[in-house]
Amino acid sequence: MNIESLFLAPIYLPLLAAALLVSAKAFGQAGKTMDSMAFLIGLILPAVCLALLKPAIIAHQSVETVIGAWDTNLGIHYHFDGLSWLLIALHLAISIPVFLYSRSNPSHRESFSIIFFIQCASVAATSLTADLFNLFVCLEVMGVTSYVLIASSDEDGSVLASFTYLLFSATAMVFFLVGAFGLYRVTGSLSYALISQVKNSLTGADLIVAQMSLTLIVVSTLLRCAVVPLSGWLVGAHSKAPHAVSALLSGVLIKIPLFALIRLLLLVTASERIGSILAWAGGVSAAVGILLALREVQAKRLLAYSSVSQIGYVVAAYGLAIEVGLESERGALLIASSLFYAFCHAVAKALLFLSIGTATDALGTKDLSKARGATASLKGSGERVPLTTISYCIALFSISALPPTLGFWGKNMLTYLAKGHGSAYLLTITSVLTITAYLKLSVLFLPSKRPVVVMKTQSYGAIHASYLVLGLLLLGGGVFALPFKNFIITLLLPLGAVEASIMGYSAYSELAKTFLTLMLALFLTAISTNRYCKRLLAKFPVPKARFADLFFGYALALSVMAFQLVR
Amino acid sequence: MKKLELIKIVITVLLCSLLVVPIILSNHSWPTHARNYLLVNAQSDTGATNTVSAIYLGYRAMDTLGETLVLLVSVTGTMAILVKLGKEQTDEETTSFSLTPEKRPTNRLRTHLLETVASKLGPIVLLFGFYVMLYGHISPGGGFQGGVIVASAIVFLALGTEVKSKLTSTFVLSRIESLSFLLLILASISGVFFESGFFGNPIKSASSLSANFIILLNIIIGLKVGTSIAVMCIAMMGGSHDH
Amino acid sequence: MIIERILIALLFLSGFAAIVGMRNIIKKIFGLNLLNASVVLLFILEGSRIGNQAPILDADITNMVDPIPQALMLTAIVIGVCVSALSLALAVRLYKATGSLDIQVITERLQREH
Repeated sequence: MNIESLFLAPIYLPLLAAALLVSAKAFGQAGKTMDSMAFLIGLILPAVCLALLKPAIIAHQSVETVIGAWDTNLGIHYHFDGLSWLLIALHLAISIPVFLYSRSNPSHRESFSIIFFIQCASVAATSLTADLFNLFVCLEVMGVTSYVLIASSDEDGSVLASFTYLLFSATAMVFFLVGAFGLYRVTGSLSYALISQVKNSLTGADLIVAQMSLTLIVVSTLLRCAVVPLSGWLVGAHSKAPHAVSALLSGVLIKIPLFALIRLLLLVTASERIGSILAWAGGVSAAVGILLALREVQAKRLLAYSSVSQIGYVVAAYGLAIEVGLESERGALLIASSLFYAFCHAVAKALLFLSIGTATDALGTKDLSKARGATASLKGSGERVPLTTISYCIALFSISALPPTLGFWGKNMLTYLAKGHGSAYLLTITSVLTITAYLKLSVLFLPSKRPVVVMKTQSYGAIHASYLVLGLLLLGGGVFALPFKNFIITLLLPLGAVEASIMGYSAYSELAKTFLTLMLALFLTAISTNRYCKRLLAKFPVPKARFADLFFGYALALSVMAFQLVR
Repeated sequence: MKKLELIKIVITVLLCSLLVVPIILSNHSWPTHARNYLLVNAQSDTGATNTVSAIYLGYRAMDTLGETLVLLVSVTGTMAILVKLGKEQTDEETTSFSLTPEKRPTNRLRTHLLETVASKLGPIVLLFGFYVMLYGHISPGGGFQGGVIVASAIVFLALGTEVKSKLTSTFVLSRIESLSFLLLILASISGVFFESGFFGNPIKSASSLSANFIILLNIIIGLKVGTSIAVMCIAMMGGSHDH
Repeated sequence: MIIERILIALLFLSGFAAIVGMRNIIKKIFGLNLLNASVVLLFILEGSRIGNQAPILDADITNMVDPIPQALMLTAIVIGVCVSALSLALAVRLYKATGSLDIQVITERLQREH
């Protein structure tokens, strides 16, 4: 079982599972057993393959091959290394609990499972691809599956959210195609290696065309990562989707395109300028996102704005890493902490969406000004152990960066490494405001004076299974954080650096800072219930997802990046 | 507020045109080495004389797989959305293109001319569709093109025939679609077990016809595309009541 | 030579302006189709400048056009059509839910229901 035969398994195994489910549906055999078999083939077997590939990856082996074994540069190049391994592992860590959670809702299950497995395959392919047009196709598959999954909810708002996301994303993909046209014209190839080889030696008018094409490609990919000013679509889409889909979207789909882009950015020489823009954009995104989250009264919208804010951390560290250069030790540590924080946020946000989703379903309302007493409602609807409340607390600790969870290590390491850049101040302010926003969300679980009204009873077995997987990841990660972080650093070393290690750092030295942050956040929460503060926050205009605003943000992002690259 | 929005739209279009127009108007000479390579090697590598088929079913077959997945997901999604709609409206059957014969005489859009011509054209177009599908490796055509023509033939038959035939029932068509999708995935995985890598040609030396893998893929893709689009069209016409 | 590319650029920009500016959602979908069509034309037109024979190998073919843009655009056309179909289904659903095809009216009516 060597690396060459296994590395494509995370792509074709979920496709096989999807094909089996399609056949089962057409022949009328769909049911729980088919679902479980598909789960085994599509999610458990790829996890086994990843485990088998681990020793090879630690030894820095990698595969650079052409799909189909053609002896020419016309084929599609794929590149499997530590980065791909980590991205697929991140995806599986979220998908398995999400699939378990979705088994509790049997109404949409057939088409959900098929589209879910196709999305798994496309995420794996995006992490592996080293060809520009293949990246386009993989992003389109990811996009189409997202549109359908978002629209599968029973609310009518979800259709509008899906429609807005569809038009915005499809237009950006056409711009991506124009960028691919420009790059193919001036470099003669579609694979990253050959494109960068020729591009780095261009001059004059050709160089301008190449830079503009690169801008179009980078910004169109970044749209899926919802950095400000490209984040208008995210709130509607993630808040109106079904809970399992929200968890998957917020956890995985806004991070994979970012890291898939790094393969291209590492090879072109202009990437430091892109990195510097991203470092600032991340900081601004974090601050704006959490300010907008503070004024929200609907639970899932608050979580969605928080996603915009937290992805700002990931993008800021990523941009800083590229700007500093991945060959230096600081760059290698920054990119590792960016991926580490992406993982922390993915698990925590997935657990948040699932637990808040279950709680609001039991309560019947998502309105934070009225909803109280979730624990009692959940108990009334059939949950014997209050696991939802416990899971929410664990996820809350993780996203507020409190010990002993994974998020404590992730956020502190990231802000420590980003020190010195202006974004670090924005990120620190955001940490305080994050705790305030989540304390506001926690009022759902306060005891209610009104009698418990039971919406419906359901079995909580599958839901509890999903909570256990995610919760254990958060707690276990908190205990084993340093070895985990070093594992990531080692896997990402082939990207540039020679040697890097963070063994000397201990997040416990930041305990004082954490305590201070917590006190400041509690103080802010106390004064935010003041009427004057509420009026101040209400003055902040809510950005609606109007098409003019979305595309204005897109044009702004394009011009800023083009200006930076071309000057 | 309207003026602000108008200004935003104008600025957006201007900024995007500033970026896109230089790329479109670039005068760099178009690269020729791909064309030169294919001129010499396409037939010996893949067995096809249609170089476009050689590319999208040979060198870049992974893109074709992705395209098939987009088709599958969007047809599944469209059907789910429309079927959900159909359940909410049961009083519009007199103007829909329902296939049940009792409703048809009241449909003013479905004339005898349409039915006669469509039912006569259907089999001919079906034959043409299969021709385009099977000859994709030596003349312009292929799986997708042939599949869409087959889909339109099935729609003709559904519009024209008086008797409900198996070919126009969504039941049979969705079974063919699912089996061809399974065959496509199995064909792509088979390369892994035969040492030509994922999506490589495992039956390259199996027969004297060197384009055998491409012909096989064309048939599978054609059937998949044809049946899935036909199912979607028949569902839109209202014929999915027997689903 | 250049007039064709200017026309394609105009087609592209009008499609884009339709998506951003038009209030009717069906017209926005028209704009998306225009956008896709313009990019397909761009690829195929520019790829055809290096030759004058169809890319089907024959005994005496020497100067065929570049087949790569044509193969890429096969994929792009199918993806464009699929996304259009999905968007039209969503538009029909929006119309049934709110009774209007104007995006601002739709947004207001859906917000009012919450």
